[in-house]
Amino acid sequence: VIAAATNSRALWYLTRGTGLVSLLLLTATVVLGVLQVNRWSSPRWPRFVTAGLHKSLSLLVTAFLGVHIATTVIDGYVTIRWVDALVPFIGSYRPFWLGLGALAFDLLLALIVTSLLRERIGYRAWRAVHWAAYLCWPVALFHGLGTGTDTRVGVVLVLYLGSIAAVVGAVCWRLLAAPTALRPGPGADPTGTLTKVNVAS
Amino acid sequence: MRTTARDQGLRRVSSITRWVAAAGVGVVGVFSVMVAKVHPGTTKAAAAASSTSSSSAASSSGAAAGSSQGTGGSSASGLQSVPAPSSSRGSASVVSGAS
Repeated sequence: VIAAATNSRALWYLTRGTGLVSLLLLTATVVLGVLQVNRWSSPRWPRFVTAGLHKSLSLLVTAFLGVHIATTVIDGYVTIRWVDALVPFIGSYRPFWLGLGALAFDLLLALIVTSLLRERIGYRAWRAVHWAAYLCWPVALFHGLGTGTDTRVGVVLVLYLGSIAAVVGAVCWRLLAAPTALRPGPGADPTGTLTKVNVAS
Repeated sequence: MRTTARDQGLRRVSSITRWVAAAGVGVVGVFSVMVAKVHPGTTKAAAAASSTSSSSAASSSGAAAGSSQGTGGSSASGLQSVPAPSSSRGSASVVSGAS
């Protein structure tokens, strides 16, 4: 019984840890996307490095989210089904807050899949879906704030506030310092979420 | 020259990604240990174990059998035990769970 309890509790701790790390990585991904759309670069940090990191971190977020979802479902303390992780707002446990997590996961999957298929689906469709990037992050944040049992823990609260400050700061910088980036040309990236490494830049 | 710069950049992307992945795994571990101490929480198996130990302690001595592993780090004392949640849909008695 002790071994089972330890294992089950470990799953729950893993759920909480991977959830927080996923949010941090998602925050970094959004900030990198904003850096990219603002065309920020330096001699030691060309733009394609930002683009490559943006792509890598978004895939890393998916990996951590996979562990987050798997441990949540397998833990079994509350009844959360696999389908609850994909279809928003149908679960029995905290349906709204858990639904936000499912929604954020769906948005992230849509962003990644359309990025991988960008050349097939065309720029317009890809661009339309990628505006959802600005929805995915706050939805994930509210999921964590609403359903996270560690939200009131000091360090976790600092991480949440730091994430909010980073994204709000990056978006403000985009709006104020680079107004031309809001009017992209036909070949420009509206959200800074290009997943193809541009080695020519 | 250009190829060298590109290769350096790609190596940098690869290196940073690996470091971030490793750091992410490490941070998950740190978070897990940290929140385990601050906010132990309850799992189904732990609740069952706690309930069993509480009832056995109560039957043997009648003394308080408060568990520090109670839901949300509660200060439950006496003979209170953490109830196992119902596995049926719509249960609303769960205090802590997945985050």
